[in-house]
Amino acid sequence: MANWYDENTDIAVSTRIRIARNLKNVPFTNKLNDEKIKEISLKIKELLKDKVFSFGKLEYISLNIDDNEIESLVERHIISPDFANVAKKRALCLSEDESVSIMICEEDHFRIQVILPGCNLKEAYKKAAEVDEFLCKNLNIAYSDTLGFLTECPSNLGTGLRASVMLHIPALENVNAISNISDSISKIGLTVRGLYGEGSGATASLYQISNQVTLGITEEDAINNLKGITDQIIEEEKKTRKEFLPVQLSDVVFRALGTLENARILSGKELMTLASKLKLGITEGIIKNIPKYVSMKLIIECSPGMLQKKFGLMEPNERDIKRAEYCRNFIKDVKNNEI
Amino acid sequence: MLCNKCGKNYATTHIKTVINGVVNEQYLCSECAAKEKNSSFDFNNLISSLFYGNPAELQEKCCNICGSTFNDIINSGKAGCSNCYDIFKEEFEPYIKSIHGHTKHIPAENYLKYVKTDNAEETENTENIKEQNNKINNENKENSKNNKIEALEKELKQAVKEERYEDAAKLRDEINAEKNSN
Repeated sequence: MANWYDENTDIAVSTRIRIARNLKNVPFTNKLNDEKIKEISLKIKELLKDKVFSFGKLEYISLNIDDNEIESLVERHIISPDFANVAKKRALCLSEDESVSIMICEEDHFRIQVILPGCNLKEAYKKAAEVDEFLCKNLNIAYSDTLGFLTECPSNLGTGLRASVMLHIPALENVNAISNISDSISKIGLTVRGLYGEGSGATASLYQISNQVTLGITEEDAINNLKGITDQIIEEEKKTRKEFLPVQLSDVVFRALGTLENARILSGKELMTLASKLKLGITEGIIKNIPKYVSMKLIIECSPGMLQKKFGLMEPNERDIKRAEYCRNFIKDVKNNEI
Repeated sequence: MLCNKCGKNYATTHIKTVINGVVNEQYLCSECAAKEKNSSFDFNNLISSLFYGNPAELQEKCCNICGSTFNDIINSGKAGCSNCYDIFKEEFEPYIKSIHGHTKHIPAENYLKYVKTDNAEETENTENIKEQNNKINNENKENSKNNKIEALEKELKQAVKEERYEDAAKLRDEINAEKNSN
């Protein structure tokens, strides 16, 4: 089954729902020893053993695996970087298409996550709520009438729900509109952040819009707010894209494609910048013979962990050569309709 | 002026630090300034700075499940267990308000069907307690009644012994009245 980054997407690249849950009267993860963590993990393993959800089963995976495998899980956005640091002694439950997962004993005892392509908040929430319902019915989950679901960090109290949409907004970034957007949406409890770290110059114009407030607002309202704002930002991006001068835009896009097709050495940072320009070109119909999914797939599959998962461990300079080679071949195959 | 750190970009930021009286001034470009800020920036500290209260006073109380004091929570920016929110309810309140702007959860209807709320437990508990209290009250009443009769009978015997027949008659009536009452 396809991953979220294998699907054709335009401005809205992916949707993520995360729900934080904890066991009642059991110390939170920061107070637990390895033994207790193992106990909780095995309890979940047993609980999910025979459970079939509408999307299939959640398979229990012990993360006592290769560092590289763990890194590739982060790169595919299945686990958080913080969880990766302690992953060796933790476990994960993952659906076959990798769209639904439960991180066990991350910051909270359970972090249910759903990641889907495009802007698909309702569908993603439905899946997450199905898992949540199952956990709530079968475990003693910490809940209070006043504060809702109780979480390790008070910033998640209430619904414990964090919903986010990843947007590819190069035109808005180009006119320096991101900080303005950030200022105005923070007033309604939403936040925007660069996906690959602002200031690094390697944002690939990907930004995540998510809800910040989880207390005093229902899940439905939080999701509707986010959906409303996301739609507006997408419209604004479309409008701003029309302000690009056609020839100049084509030039930028085709230069990027040319480099991706011919370069012999590509750093991760350069690849991201080029793939982002390629995505803009494909979405705007400037490049017609390459499907929409290609740019995101290149960004994810050319990250260090994923490359090494495919081709074995490499030094960074070897990796840059391998990345360029993989990229050339991939685009060639796509153009020849072999993929 | 070029950035003191990378020497490539123009400096846009002036960062001045004083450590043990040694003044360190840096002129940085926005990229280096961002790195500098990120490396010295601790989110937990940011959260814990929102907590109010006098640490010395708070030290006394600790959570009976995980052993956290509110001081521990201030320092880490994280609660120790779900029970902490109950134990340190008042301490948490202003802080939660400053994060979310609210202090009261609005539950979605579907959750109420399968989440065990405080109320459900409380009603269960209060009912139990009420039942127990009634039982205890009844027992007490029963006991006090028996005690009273016993005391009266004792007095009656004494009155007969001392040949105070008028008093004895009164006591006999009182005992009968007591025995007949519920």
